[in-house]
Amino acid sequence: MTPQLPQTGQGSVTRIYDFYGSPDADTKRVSDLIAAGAGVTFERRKSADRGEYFLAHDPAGTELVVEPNEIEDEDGKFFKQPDYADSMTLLLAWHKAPSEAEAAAVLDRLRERLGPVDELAFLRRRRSTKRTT
Amino acid sequence: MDNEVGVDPERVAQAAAALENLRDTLAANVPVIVNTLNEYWSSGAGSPVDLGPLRRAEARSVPDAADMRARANLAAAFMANPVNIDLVLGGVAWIPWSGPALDQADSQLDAQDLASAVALARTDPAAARAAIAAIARDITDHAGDPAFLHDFWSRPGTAAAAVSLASVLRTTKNGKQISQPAASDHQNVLTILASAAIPIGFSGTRAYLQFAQQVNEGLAAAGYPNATVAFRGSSVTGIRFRTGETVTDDNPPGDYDLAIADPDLFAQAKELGLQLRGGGTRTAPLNASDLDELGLSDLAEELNSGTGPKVSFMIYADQNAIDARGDNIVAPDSAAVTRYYDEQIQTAETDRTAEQVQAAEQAEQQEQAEIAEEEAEAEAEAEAEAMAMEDDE
Repeated sequence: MTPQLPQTGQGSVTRIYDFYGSPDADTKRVSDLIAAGAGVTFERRKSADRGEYFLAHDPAGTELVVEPNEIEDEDGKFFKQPDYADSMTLLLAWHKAPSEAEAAAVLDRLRERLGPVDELAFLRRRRSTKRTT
Repeated sequence: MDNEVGVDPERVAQAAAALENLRDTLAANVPVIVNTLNEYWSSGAGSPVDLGPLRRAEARSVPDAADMRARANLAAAFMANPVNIDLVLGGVAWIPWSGPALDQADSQLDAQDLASAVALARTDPAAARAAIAAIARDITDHAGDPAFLHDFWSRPGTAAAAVSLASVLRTTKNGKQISQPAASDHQNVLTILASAAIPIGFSGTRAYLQFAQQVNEGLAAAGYPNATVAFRGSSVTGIRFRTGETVTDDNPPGDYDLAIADPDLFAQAKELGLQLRGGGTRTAPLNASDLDELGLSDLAEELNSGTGPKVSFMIYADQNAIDARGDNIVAPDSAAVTRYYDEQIQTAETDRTAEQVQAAEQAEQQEQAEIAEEEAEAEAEAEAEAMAMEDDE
């Protein structure tokens, strides 16, 4: 079902989140491939909760996060995105803009640039629009 | 001792966690229920019923939870004490169960832990921070128990230990030290204890409190004014997850792992279908999209806009669920941050008054010295004149 999107424009902000997945479990290798495709430089980061992940921002202001889908805590191993268990590495690219069209255009361009990245598949897109005060 | 009973430490710890959960639930819901029903009845609808028992249950849950936590702490300390090895039979710990004996034993344990933390702070600041956080929590639990507080603070060296500890932990890497409030004031020392437990990576108390306030305000703006915030991970333990690398102020944590405890926020996460872990007591790590769904994207973006450590979030049903995962430092709430700044202003004013008194004393001493000098000179002149007159004669 296609969600009914609220009207966007002045006084609102839209965030669009694009999820990608790769069957390659080597997060570093996947981040290198994405870096080459998107023209960004990833920074390796560590978090007790999230595990190791790679963070980058492109010149348009889009944030890209590459992280393993499967991580472990006290309860054992689990998938952050259980619906995409075939993807061992995830990429979340998101952009914020005053209008949905603007945010979508930026992420569509990024998607085109990531097209040739080996085994990287687009999984889904989520949009949200909020009024600003 | 007559009042001592044998307890199973694990069971008592479970009971303490359950009572703390009940206390938090009642604190979060009773005022809402009472206000809602009072409004309903004041509009002329329905027949009022006595809400006194509900209010009393809420009030009673605070000391009950504190007492059970005290028993759990004492039982754990009993089992850990090698002196008791001959007494440890069938996993039973012997502790005072109630009344002044329980308060005294608990305050004594807190005082001992505080003294240990002083020693630990010099060699292992991260472990000391976690120990202080636990003591500060216990003392806060007894905020309405003057007998306990008096007993704790009257133990030899306790207040001095708190100040010394804060002094050690507040010494930043450039050696600057923050002025200390008077140790005689219980509330001040409590604030010291709470603020001394600073996660690694902050340049000092001010930076930490500013960050805490930013998070508190962001959560309030998102509709969660009662949420509590705790730090987890390497900023608390001093050990980087998985690699085991040591984290210090010179090698700060890469990310701050924030644990947010709020029943409403957690309920919303469940309603959104976010993945749960820990037997359904917390969410999985949240990504930017999850945070957006929870209305926390503005806060996350604000906190992550700088070049410093990034911030990760996880939502918990309550503080017990955070405690169950190990060491954490609960960040001061808005009231504590305000209290800290008020106290700093008060201390600065006291310092300024002391400086003024000292300056006045110095001026007076100088004046006295000048008078004495003038008198000595006059005396010498008089003597010289007298001698001259004698010579003339």
